[in-house]
Amino acid sequence: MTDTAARSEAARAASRQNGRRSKGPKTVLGRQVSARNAFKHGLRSRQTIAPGILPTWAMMIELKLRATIGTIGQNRREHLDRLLPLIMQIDQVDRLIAGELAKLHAALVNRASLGVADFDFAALQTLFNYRRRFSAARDKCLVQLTKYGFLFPFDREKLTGKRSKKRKRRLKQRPAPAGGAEL
Amino acid sequence: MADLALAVRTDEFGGLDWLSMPGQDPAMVAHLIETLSAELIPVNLIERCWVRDIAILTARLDFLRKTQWAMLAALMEEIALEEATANRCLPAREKLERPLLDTAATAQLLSNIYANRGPVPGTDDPRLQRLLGKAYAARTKQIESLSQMEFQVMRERDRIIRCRDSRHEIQVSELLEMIEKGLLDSPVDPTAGIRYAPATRDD
Repeated sequence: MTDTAARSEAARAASRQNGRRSKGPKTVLGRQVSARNAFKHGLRSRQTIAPGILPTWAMMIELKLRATIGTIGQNRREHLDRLLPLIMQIDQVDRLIAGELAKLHAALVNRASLGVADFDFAALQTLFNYRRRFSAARDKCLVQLTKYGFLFPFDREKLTGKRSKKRKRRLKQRPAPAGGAEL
Repeated sequence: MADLALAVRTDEFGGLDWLSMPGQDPAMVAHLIETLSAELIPVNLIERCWVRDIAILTARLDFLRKTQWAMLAALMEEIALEEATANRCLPAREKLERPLLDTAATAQLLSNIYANRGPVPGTDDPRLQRLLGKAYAARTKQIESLSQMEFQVMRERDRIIRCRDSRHEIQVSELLEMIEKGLLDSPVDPTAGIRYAPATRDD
């Protein structure tokens, strides 16, 4: 806490002068532009893509998956909604990696200057990390999407008599009916 | 190029147009997709996605390995040139004590790597070993980075292969169960594609 009385006149004049200067963007456009000042690649952000702006190939993937998997309920819908952005992100990372590899290739071809020393290996490694993470998340979504009704159009539990561990646990936890209470 | 055009046209996961960038090997990716498809017979979108990923990652792995060698070879050539220049100033006796690898040999090594003409020459030559050691010492950080990346890509590819294998194992075990219980009247044609059930419950 600054005591007003303790500040000199010069300091107060300097504060007034500073206050008259720019205090950041004011217009909507200016704010939007400055909001992306620190933007690097956007791969870390969670992407939500509205169905209206999905590219054609992503819409085709959705259609094909629906044809493959069958009915999609709320739970599956969530996995599908997560899956499509992930596939798009993988495509985006692949393009970025290809760009970085092209730079590395150019540095190697131009070996007189041995530009490899200046190449940013850390950036490429980060992109590989993202690729691996997105691909793992995509496969997790795919597994979740095809979890039930795996092979044939029958209920697995009814047919094979096998219950999943989760269901067994639920049945165990259910309280036993109080027998003979009505008598 | 016809293979690449076909691969780009038939690709359903955003396209493979970036394969035309320098450093990529579109022919290799197209060939790998074709070979893997013939071998693994992907029957639906999910399996096609995995096959495509395996092909891309394998090609990327190959590029990283070649890059590592090319980087070393470029460095070896540079060191050999420097040593040859320095050697001219040495007296004749010292020249005999320090046998050098001629620049022509390193240039040949480099061109072999760039043109992908067979494996790198054996490192049984002590002069080559010395140059290799010097090159490693000069670029340890970069070479380690490349090795790490190679390892990451390999791990990702192997994970996808395991994912595909485990899925097939589950499918086969379910199929066997149903055959045992007599729920199947006719044998399943594996090339016809596996149909998934509409979800009866979705919890």
